[in-house]
Amino acid sequence: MLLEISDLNLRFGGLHAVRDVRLQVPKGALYGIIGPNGAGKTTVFNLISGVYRPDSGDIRLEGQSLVGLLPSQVVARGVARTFQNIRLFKDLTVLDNVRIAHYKGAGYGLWPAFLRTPGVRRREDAITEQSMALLEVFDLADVALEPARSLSYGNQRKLEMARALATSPKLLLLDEPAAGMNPAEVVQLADLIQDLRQRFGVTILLIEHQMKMVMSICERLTVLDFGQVIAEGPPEEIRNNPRVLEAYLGRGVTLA
Amino acid sequence: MPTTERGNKQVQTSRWTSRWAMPLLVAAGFAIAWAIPRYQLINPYYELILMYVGINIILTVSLNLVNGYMGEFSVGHAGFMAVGAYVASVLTMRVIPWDVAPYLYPLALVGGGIGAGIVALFVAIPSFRTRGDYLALVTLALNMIVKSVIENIDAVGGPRGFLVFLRLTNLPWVYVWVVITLWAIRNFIYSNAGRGVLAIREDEVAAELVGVRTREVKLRAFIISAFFAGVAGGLYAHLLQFIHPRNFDILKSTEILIMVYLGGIGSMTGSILGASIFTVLLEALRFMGVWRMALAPLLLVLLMILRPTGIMGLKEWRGLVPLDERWRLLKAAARKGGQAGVAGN
Repeated sequence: MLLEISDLNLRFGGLHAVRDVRLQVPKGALYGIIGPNGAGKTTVFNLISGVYRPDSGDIRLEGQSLVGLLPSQVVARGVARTFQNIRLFKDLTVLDNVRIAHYKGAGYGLWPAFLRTPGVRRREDAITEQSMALLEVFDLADVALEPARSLSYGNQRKLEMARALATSPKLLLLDEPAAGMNPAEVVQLADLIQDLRQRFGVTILLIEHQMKMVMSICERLTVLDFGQVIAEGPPEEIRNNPRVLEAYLGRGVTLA
Repeated sequence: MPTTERGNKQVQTSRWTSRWAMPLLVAAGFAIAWAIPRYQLINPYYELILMYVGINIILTVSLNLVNGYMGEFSVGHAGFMAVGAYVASVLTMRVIPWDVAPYLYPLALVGGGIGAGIVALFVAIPSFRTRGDYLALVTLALNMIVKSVIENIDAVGGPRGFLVFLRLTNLPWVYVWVVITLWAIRNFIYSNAGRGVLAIREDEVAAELVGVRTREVKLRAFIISAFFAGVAGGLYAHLLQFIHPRNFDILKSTEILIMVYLGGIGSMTGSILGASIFTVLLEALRFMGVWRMALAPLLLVLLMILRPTGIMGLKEWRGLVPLDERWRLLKAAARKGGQAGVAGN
């Protein structure tokens, strides 16, 4: 297992936002977390990436606990993420958005930076080169020197993924990547996500609202409702699970 | 690919000319800064103003690092300046023998900078748990604490002030320190840590979540900023020759803030312009007496209304961007239309 979450709990005052959540993501998987609004999906992401600290339970990446680490340390361990509401560095260029994500791997200290030694310049060359190559994968090389805010919505989402991948993660967390996209864009996105897994050999854990997309690309799903896991299994099973249908649509319906 | 070829040629010519442009400009500047006092090329009063301009550039650029590039709001820069001024003055007046002081003067200034950096370290650790308005309050408090502490140290004159009769600051020294400051801060900004500084301004949470160790970056930026404020304080003390805690009060901090926001946040070019314009303007308006002090706040208010980003506002003159970075960006721009991506659109 790449990621193992056991008995995770988090309370916000009286609200038990995450309750005994368990999750096992095998290496190389494309795994989905679904659930209605307010089910605690993003909270689980925030717990994994170190934004929140759990009240109890453990989160292990390749057997090593991530609990208590700073978000930047979690990134250094190999977990990168995107955000539901896009959080790019808007006034900086597309290129700089990606170059910033090379922070941990820059490999030179403060004094060489002050002196701008040849070694520093070579590292900067390499970082820029790698960033441009990554932007080419996402078809963003043409706009590399434009400010991130000038990109279309779809391209901003892509840039967020590029930025996350620039940290060379083992596990990529995608928080509602299809939010705000039209059906055609969603189809493209599904292709892109599958391609990323192949190309970068990265395990992907995604949160999604769009049932159709999740069902079509994820191998396994976990369904959350009110902070609890209510179902877990391959898409076909989830599709017909009465508890899931109830959580999403109420009693007595079937999902197309 | 014709575009790329043309791009490359352009890159090569601009590379050759610009490689020597900046070093020559800097050398010419030094020759002038050296010749002015040596041959008394200009009125000593103008020379004095030039030195104030230089010191103010150091103060403005260093504060811009924290307030402009990093997007924090530090309002007590004069506090760090005070620490640098007193430490450097104690070193030249009490520690280093007077006859060698002129030679060891740079070390005294560095000592002042380190003193200010240490104070910054002690302020930074608790204050970076807070953000925005709280950092402003913490730095404001620091400014006041530094002033009252100095007022209560009798060994440096306390509220009576401290006589620094060695006039070690001259135009060449000021010039050298301005160049060192610009060079160091430029190299910092255009490095890995510098990109981290910009990321913190844009979105601190996102910065941390793409791997930027934000606490480390903030601490470094804060200390570097304070170090150069301390150096500027040392230069100021050995120019003024009589320092007093009141020289480093909130009003002084406000002046530095005005110069930062006048020139423009996140721009060294802006800080050079802001410091120069403000310093010269304040001198030119001497005939107004006390009223010129009303001008500074008025200027700030007008600025915030008419041009909130300042003169330059995040834009940088090409010459202040490291050559290798400019070249890298040109190369990136020439790379348009590479292999097809995966998205298929």
